[in-house]
Amino acid sequence: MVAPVSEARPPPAYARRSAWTSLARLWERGIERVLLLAASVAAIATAAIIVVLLQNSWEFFRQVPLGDFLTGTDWSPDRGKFGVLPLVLGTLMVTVGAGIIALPLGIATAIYLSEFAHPRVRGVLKPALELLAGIPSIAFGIFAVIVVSPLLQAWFGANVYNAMNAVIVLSFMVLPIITSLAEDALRAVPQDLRAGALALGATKWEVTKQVVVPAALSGIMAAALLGFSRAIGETMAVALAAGLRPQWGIDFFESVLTMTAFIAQRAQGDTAQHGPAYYSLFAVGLLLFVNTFAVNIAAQWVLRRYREEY
Amino acid sequence: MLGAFSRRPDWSRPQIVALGAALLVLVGAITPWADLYTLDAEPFVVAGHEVYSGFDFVPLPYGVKHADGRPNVPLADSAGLLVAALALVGAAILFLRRPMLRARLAPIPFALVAAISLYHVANIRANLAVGPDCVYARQVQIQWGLYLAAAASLVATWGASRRLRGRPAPSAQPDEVAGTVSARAAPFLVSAAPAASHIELTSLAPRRRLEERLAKAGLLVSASMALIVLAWLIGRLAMAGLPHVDTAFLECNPAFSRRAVDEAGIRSALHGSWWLAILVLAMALPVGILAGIYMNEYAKPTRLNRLLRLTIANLAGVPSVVFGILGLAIFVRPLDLGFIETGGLGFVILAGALTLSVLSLPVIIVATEEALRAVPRAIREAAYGLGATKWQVTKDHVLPNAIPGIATGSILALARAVGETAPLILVGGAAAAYFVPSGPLDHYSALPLLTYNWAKLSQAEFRELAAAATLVLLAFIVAMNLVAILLRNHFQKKLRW
Repeated sequence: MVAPVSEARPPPAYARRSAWTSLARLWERGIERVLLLAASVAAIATAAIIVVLLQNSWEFFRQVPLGDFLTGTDWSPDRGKFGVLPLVLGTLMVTVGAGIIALPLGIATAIYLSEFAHPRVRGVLKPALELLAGIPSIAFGIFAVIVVSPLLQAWFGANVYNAMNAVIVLSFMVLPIITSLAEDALRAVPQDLRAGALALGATKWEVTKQVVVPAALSGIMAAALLGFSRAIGETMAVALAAGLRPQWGIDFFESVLTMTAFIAQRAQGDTAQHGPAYYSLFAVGLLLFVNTFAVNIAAQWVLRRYREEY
Repeated sequence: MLGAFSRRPDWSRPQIVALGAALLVLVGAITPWADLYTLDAEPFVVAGHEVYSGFDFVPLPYGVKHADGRPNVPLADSAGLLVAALALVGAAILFLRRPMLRARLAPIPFALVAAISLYHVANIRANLAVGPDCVYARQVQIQWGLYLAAAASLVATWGASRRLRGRPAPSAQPDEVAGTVSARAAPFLVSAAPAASHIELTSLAPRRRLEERLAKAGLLVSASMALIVLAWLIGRLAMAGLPHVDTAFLECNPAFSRRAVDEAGIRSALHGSWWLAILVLAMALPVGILAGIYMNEYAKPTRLNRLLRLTIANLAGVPSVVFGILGLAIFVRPLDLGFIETGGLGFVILAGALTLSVLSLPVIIVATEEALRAVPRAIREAAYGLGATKWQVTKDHVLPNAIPGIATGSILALARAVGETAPLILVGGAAAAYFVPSGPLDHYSALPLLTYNWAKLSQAEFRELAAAATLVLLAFIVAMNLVAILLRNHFQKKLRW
C-alpha cells in the first residue's frame, strides 16, 4: 500500500529559501535601485533646467512686464529696453534661411543614399556626413569668419558680420542631421512597395517620387522639424558669423542678433548679478527652451499623426 | 595612348594601399611647402641654410647646397619637384592595364622617392640649427614631412610590387531590383526584373528617360555637396591655420596682445580641455551607462518610467547654451532654492565638467539603450533558462555583447562634449587663463573657448591663431569620430546573430 503524500512535505532543495538566496534577492533589488537612481539623474536635470529658468525669469518679469518683453521691438539691455522681437526675428531669419538651403539638399542626399547609391559610394558618403555632423560648431564659426564672410563682402558688399553668413554655415551644420533622419525614414519604407511599383513598369525615379517619398513623408517632415530645432539652438557659429547687433528689419547682409548669440554675448560681459540685464539671460533662455521644446514635440506629433501603417 | 590605361583597374588591396601611400608622399612633400608659405620677413634656416620665404617661392625645401655651404635653391627646388613627380608617376603606373608590367614598374619610382627622402632627412638632421625655438620647431616639422614621405613610399613600393590576383570580368549583373525583391513579391517579379533593367535605356519614352537621368544627376550633385563642404571646410581651415601649428604653438600659453602673437600658443587650453574630457568621462559615462541599462533592461512600462523616457528624450533636444545657463545657476553661482543651498563652485574646471556631463548624459543613455536593444532576446532567454538572475543575465551576457555599441556612442558623446563651446562660455569664466590649471578646482580655459576668444578679435593674426587652434581641436575630434566609425563598422561585420 502506498503511503499518502504528506501535505507537509518540505519544498524541494531548489525552491528552498536559503540565507544565500535571500541575500541574492536583496542584491538584485539593490542593483535595480542604483540603476533607477542613475536614470533619474536625467529627469532631475530636466527639472532643474525648468526650475532655474522659471525662477530667474520670474525675477526678470517682476522688473520688466511680460507684455513689454514679448511685444517690444527695441532690444538694448544696457538702456533698459527689453523688447525681444528683434531677437526672435533674427533667429527666424537665420534658421529659415538655413532651412531653405539645407532642406532640399538634405532630402535629395537622403534619397540618393537610400535609393540610388552604390554601396561603395555610400561607404564614402555616410562617414563623410557623420564627420560633418561631428565637427564642432566653433569650427563652423571660424570658417564663417575667415572664409564665407570675405566672399560675401566681395560679392554682395555685405557687412563683415551678416545674417547670410550665418545662414550658410548653419545650413552646412543641419545638413547631416536632416540627411540622416530623412534617410532613416526612407529606409523604413518596406521593400515590397518598391518591388510592386517596379513590377508595374515604373522607373527607379518614378518609384522614388511616387511611392517611397510619399510613404516616408511623416519621417521626412519630422527630420525637417528636428533640423529646425537644432538650428534654433545653435550658438557659436551664429554668434561668430552674424555679429551681435540686433536688427529690427529683414536685411540678410546686415548684422543680426539671435537668442542664443545674445546669451553667449551677455554671459561674457560683466553684468551686475542682480539687474534686469542679468535676469534677461534667463528669460531669453526660457523662450529658447520653450521654442525648441515646442518644435521637438511638433516633430513627434507629426511622426505619430501622419505615420503610414503597413 | 590612353588605351594602355584601364579605366577601372581590377584593384587588389595592396594596390589600393600603394595608391593611398602615393597620396601620402605628396602630402609629406607638401608639409614643408605649406610651412614655407608663411609670410616671414626674417630668413629662417632649413637644413642649415637661410631661406627667405614668402616671396622666395621654394616649393620643396630639400636641403641641397653648393660646395661652399650656400643653399642651392634651384637644385633644392628640382629635388622636391622630382619627389612629387615620381610619386605621381608611380601612382599613374598603378593604373596600367597589364598586371605584370604594373608589378615590375611601379616599385621603381616609389623606391627612388624613399631613397631621396631618407637622404634629405639625414641631411636636415645633420644640420639642425641650435637657434630660436620656433625655427627648431619648423625644422622638426619638415623632418616629419620627409619621414612621412619616406615611410609612405616604402609602403607604396611594397604594395605596388604585389602580383595581382586576377578577378573575373564583371559579368552582366542582374539589376539591383532583383537583389532587393522581398520574398512576398518575388513570384510577380521573376519576369519583370530583367525587363526593368533593359527598359531604362531602350524602350522608355524619351521624356521619361530624360527625367530619370536628370533626377539621378541632380541627386548625385546634391549628395556630393556634403563631401565638397567637408573638404572646403577642412582645407581652408588648414590653409589658414597650418602655418601656425608647430611645437611652439602647442607649448606656449595663450596671448591676446598684438605684440605677442608669435609667442601665442594653446598650452593651458589644451590642459583645460584634457581635464574636462577626463572628468566628463569619469562622471557621465558610469551614470549614462547605468541609466541606459535601466531604461532598456529593467524599466517596465509604468507611469514613472514613461516620464523618465520623456525627460531623457527632451533633454537630448535642449540647446547646448541652455545647459550653460543651468550650469551657471546651479554649479557656478551660489544656489538657494529654499530647500537646497550650495555655496557655488565658481568658474572652475569641475563646474564646467559637471555641465558638460549633464549635456552628454542623454547622448550616452540613448547610445547604450540602442546597443542593448540590438542584443537578441534569445541570448537573454538562454541565460534565464540556465537559472541566472536578471543582473547576472545583464552583466554577463547582454552587456558584453553591447560593449562595442556603447563604446562607439560614448566616444561620439565625448567628442561632442570636448568640442562644445556655448555652455563653457557661460560656466568657463576666465576667458584668458594664461596658466595650466593645477586641479579640478582651478580656473581654466578650454580649446574651443580660447578659439572663440581669439576669433572675436578683429585682427587677422588672431583669426589665423583661432584657425590653428580649431585645427588642433578638429584633429582630436576627427580622430575620435574615425575611431568610433571604424569600431562600429568592424563589429557590424563581425557580429551576425
